[in-house]
Amino acid sequence: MSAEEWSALRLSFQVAMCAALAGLPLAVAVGYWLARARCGGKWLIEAVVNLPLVLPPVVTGYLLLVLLAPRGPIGAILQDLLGIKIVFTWWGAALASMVMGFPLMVRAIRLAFQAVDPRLEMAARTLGAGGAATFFTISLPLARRGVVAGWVLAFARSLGEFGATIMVAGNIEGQTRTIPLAVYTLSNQPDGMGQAWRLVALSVLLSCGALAISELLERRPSQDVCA
Amino acid sequence: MRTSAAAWAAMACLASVAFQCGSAPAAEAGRESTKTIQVFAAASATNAIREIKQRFTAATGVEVRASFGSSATLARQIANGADADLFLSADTQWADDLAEKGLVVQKQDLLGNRLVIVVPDDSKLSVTRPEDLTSAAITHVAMGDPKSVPAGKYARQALEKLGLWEALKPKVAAADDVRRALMYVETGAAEAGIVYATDAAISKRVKVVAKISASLTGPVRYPVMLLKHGAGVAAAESFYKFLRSRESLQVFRKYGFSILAEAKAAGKAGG
Amino acid sequence: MSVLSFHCRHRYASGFALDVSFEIAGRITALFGPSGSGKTSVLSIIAGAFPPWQGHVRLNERTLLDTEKGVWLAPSRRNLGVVFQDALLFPHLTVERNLQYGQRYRRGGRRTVELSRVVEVLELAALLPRYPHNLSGGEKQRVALGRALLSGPEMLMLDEPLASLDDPLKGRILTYLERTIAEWNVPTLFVTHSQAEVRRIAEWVVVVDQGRVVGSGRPEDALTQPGPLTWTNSSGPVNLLRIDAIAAHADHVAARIGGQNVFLPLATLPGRSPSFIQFRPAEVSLSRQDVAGLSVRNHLHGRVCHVLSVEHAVFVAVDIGQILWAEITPQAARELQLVPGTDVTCLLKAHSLTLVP
Repeated sequence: MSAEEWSALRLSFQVAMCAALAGLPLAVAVGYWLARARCGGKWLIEAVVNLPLVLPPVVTGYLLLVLLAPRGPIGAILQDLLGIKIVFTWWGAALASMVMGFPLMVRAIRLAFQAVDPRLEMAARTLGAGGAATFFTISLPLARRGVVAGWVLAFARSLGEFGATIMVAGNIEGQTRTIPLAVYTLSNQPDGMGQAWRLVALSVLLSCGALAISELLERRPSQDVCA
Repeated sequence: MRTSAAAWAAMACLASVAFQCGSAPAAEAGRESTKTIQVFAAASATNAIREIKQRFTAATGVEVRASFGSSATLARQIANGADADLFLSADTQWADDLAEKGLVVQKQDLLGNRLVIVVPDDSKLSVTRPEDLTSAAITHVAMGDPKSVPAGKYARQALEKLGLWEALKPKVAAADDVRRALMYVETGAAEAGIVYATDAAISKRVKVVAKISASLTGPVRYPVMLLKHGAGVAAAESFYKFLRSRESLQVFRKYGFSILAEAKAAGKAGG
Repeated sequence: MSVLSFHCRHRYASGFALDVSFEIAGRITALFGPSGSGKTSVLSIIAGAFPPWQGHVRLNERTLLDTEKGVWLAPSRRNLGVVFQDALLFPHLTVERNLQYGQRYRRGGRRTVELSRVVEVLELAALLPRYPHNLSGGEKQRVALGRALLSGPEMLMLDEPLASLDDPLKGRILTYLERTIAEWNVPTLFVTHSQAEVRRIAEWVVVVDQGRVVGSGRPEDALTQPGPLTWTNSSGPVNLLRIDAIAAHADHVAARIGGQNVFLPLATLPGRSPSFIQFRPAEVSLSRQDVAGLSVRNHLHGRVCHVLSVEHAVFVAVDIGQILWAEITPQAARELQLVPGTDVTCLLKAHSLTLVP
């Protein structure tokens, strides 16, 4: 494997891990809220969360680019206050992947929380546990499987992310050229297909690895999730 | 379990039927008198070609479908059997490549262009020469992919000649085509970019700060080609002539291209 | 001094209207009524599941909720121990951890409740390492009771705790409940639709029907009112009488009730003395004179002390040392000319009797 291929592999892993982990806390919060809330504005939040799922990735990427580039509203703040530029960096790629994977994570997590009997949470409350204590000791442990599943989905989605990434992070060798982008670049060159296939194989290996880890995490002395 | 297996089978059937319908091949026979033709053109010529094909359609009633992109991508698609009747390429390498494959019926160098350095129009950086790109204030320089996009290859050539390539290589934000490179500069994602003069001209959000001398890149030549797919098709041949007519060349000039070909005398409609 | 004061009104989306007011003091109170009468709603409001449209609830000196003053304590701050109908044990924790959960958020309750003592009284030692899905219904209820106790509550609330259990099991769990209350003296409110349970264990009962309180008092008084007497199925009236000295013989099983003999089904397994026998008023026949040659084994002599006419029946209370109710037709009542003071014999088949430990 050449240096470029190692670089693509490293970047893909880095970006996917970061994207999935960074999105997790917010996805858990949003997923839980969607599972339990009963207010009228719920449909609006759902629609916004699902946008990256229904919009073409390139469109989402373009929106992110316009927002985050130094001339965009958010990018200007980042530039002026913190002196950082997020586009064309692997952070930008991670952000793009996180946004693309977010609806998948929320979906899986929300289903998991919906399957947790809310009466168990009430029982915990009557025993004296406040909102946060109930969430962390009862709701979250019982929804574990869904949370892990959501994480794996987001990770896998990230490994295959192309459209939004190429918009926001560009295709900068060694810095943002993840495996999908590398395959794309190689396919534009007459002699690149051999290398491209190697990268494809690597991608498959990484995904299998993620699945295996998720299986391990879910293994526990057998229990039912139902009350 | 059984019902869900049945549901999957049904969906698979539907999907394959849909695929069949979608991929029915276009009829080839009897294209001689067709009223629809397909043109592939380099991204940098987007605006010019759009205007030209409008005029052609107004005059002849022939519908012209145009696809724009990097000449590398388009050439590859043509080589793989895309149904293009004409091709306007941003460099000669891809044109020669297709000619070798026997896909070109007629060819002529039509247009010229030159590279310029652009920055966002509100940029406060002082960039007046290519050497200024190496400054630390510039973290990314946008350009077409130097490995495949003509504009990128020309840019690399020029920078290599100036001895700046090694220093600038890590900063290169390679774009799929030159218009994307332009967008990178417009949004400020890249502090500077190297694009064609014609691209810089159509964008109000960038300003040209330096011109890359033609001696550094060699002449930037845009050959126009009548492809094998369009041979014998009256409408395609007519458009091929129209592209080289005085009227079209005026349009090209308007958008900043330099003209390499002799204007074809009065060849507007029909013929 | 009242332990719990409840005055609330609420209207559900389905149209069901709740308007319940009561005050209770004392140890074991039953909230009794047929299914759908609103008793579980009362419990939910006290526990804090939702705020009622209007009303206030006070526990000891604390206000749990008051819609007029805008007071609403979160469920976690109400200091109540709730045992739910299906136990609601946390499935991802062992029994031991479930019990400890009750302790973890202990709010320094009225008295310290020790884990080891709870395990002892409720006989949970063997269950500690198991997970809830490996427990039977009765075992789950015991653990739920232990868990609620360990949170040191000011009041224990049980929502139809025996509803999902078989009859033989019910009595056993009731015994555990009695032991619990005796040991820790926690005021208890328990919701049930079974008159048998009320008679067995409650010192006071609040009777609700269709969202309103229709009576309250000691079980023997409140349950022998026209309303509860006419309810059918499991909410229907029962007799629960104390018996002693159960002795098994070759072809019969006998016991003593006051000074008289009572015969039980042969299949009866002797329980611990004293026990109770349970039977329905409809299973009692009355006779003005002694009758011989009957297969009916039990002839209990007593005096009529009360005659109550309800919709389609007449209920007669007979004092045989304890009060026993019989349900007969209005025609029979007229024919036998039953009035308070009349001597009668209560005829009761051995097979109508259920022994309750």
